[in-house]
Amino acid sequence: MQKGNEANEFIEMAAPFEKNIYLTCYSFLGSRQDAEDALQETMLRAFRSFSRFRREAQIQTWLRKIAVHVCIDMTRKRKNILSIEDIQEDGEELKDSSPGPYDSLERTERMRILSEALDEMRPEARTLIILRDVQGLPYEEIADILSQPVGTVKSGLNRARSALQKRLNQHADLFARSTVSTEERRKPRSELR
Amino acid sequence: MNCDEFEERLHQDSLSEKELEEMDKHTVVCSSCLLKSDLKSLMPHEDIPESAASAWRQAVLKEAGSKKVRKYPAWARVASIAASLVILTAGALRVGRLNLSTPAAEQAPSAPANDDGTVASIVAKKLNGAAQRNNGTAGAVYEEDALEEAAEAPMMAASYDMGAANAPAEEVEMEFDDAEELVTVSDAATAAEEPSEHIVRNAYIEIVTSDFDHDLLLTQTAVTDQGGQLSSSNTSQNRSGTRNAYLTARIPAEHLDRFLETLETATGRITQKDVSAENMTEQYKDLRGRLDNATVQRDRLRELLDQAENVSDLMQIERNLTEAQSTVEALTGQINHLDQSVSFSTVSISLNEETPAQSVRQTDGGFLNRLKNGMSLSLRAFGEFLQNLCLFLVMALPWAAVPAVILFMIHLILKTRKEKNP
Repeated sequence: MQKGNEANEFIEMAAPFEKNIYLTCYSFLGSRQDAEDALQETMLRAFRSFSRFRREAQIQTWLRKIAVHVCIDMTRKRKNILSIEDIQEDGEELKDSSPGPYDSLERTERMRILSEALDEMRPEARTLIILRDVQGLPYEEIADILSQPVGTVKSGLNRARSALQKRLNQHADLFARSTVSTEERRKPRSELR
Repeated sequence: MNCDEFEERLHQDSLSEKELEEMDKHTVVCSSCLLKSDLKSLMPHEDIPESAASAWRQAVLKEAGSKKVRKYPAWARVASIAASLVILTAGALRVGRLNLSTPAAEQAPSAPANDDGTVASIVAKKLNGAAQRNNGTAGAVYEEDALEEAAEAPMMAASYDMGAANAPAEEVEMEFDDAEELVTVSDAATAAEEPSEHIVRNAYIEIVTSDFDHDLLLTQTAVTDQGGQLSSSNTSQNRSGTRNAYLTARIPAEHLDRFLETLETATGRITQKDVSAENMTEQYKDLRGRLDNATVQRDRLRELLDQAENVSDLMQIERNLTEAQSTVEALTGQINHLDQSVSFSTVSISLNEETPAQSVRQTDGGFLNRLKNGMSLSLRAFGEFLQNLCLFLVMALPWAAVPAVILFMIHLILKTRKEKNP
């Protein structure tokens, strides 16, 4: 009975953040199925350590911390993430609204190359780029998630970006410039119709 | 606009037209910020599926309602692996000390029976025979033939004066009043046959050897070669696996030095050698004198026994005679023991097997030679360790098999349960 009350209390506390955790897992793992598995594993781990959770800490940061570790563990087991097939959903095609057919092809190709380059990075560098540049989390929250000082996070992120840039320099023609506006690039993938 | 401003605005929800235009201009000249904007577009913005939302809730409720099967934390797994390694190593070392592949050290032969045919026993018998032959004779008469028999007994001690022993004794007709003179004469005759000094020599020698079996056999052979006998032998093995032997040998006194020299030259390193020499001459003379007096007294009482006139005198004489006889026997035994100690030296030998490391340190031939020996010794020891480890694993297999099977079955059951109830 006591454990059942504890479970309900945990569900009530974690439910508002389930979407963010799910999207965090999705951005790491690149597929819905993997993201669902990672979400479930994250919540189970969080529940098991719920009694030791210091309530004064932010719940979302705590859950994200667990989610990042779950995703890193799963990434080590599965290599392929953020493939082009994930960008093209089942039965859906990318419909671009950018001017000209060549621009959408160029963008698709850039995303594919970017995903592959990100996949080849070391887990630590990849984590920093996903948390900051993909999800847009503040430096302080990233530092809390990774249990590192903010300065270490910033310097690590700079090195990760440089490493990614170096990989992408092989395709300088695609990444040196862009004909797509910033507004277009800020649109989420699901809105690319 | 600089890169920091671009990065900050990139993750803002709402931007004005002007800000978007500035950001566009910035990406034309800054490939790094262009990359950041591409990465931003990788962020998914879809709703969580219903199935995912309900799945984790059900999993949490089920976790709360069932027994928790926790995975062991990393530190517990490391500790269990470390403990396993310690047990395996200890088991291998223990098997090595049991020396299962090497036969046990041969026991030294048991000590043979003592004193049969030794010189001292022959001499003692002669003296006893001479004394007993005087029984019943009026006056203590040392017959010439008894003295000659004693003198003829071969004397093994080199320090004894053989000339004095062969000197003929005078035949003396004794009467009771001349007992004292008889004693004096007998003393002279006895002194003529006995060595001038009685020196008891014993030795203790400690040997450290790298070839234990060889040196043990050599020591036992050397004892026999010098005409001696092993009176005791004890062999043991200590915890480190090295063996020790403690032998006690009786060596003819004139062969003692040769025996010690044999051990020094033919066996391992002598770490201790003690040779003692105790002069027992005065003690011997004292015992001898007392024996003679007791003998005379006994013989005289025998004469008086024949002359007793009444029962009370007879009983009194018999009591005194019994006491005198006991005294004679006790003194004779002491003299015999002393003779044996003089004739045969007691040598205590401690033979200790040295550890391989000690033998390497003691190797002659310079530092390089010792390095080479040390390396080959280490390689040999490592090979033996691996053999012992394999042997331990095989020996432990029956004990480990049962719990391993049980644990495997538990693992299968839990895995099946998890698959049925994801």
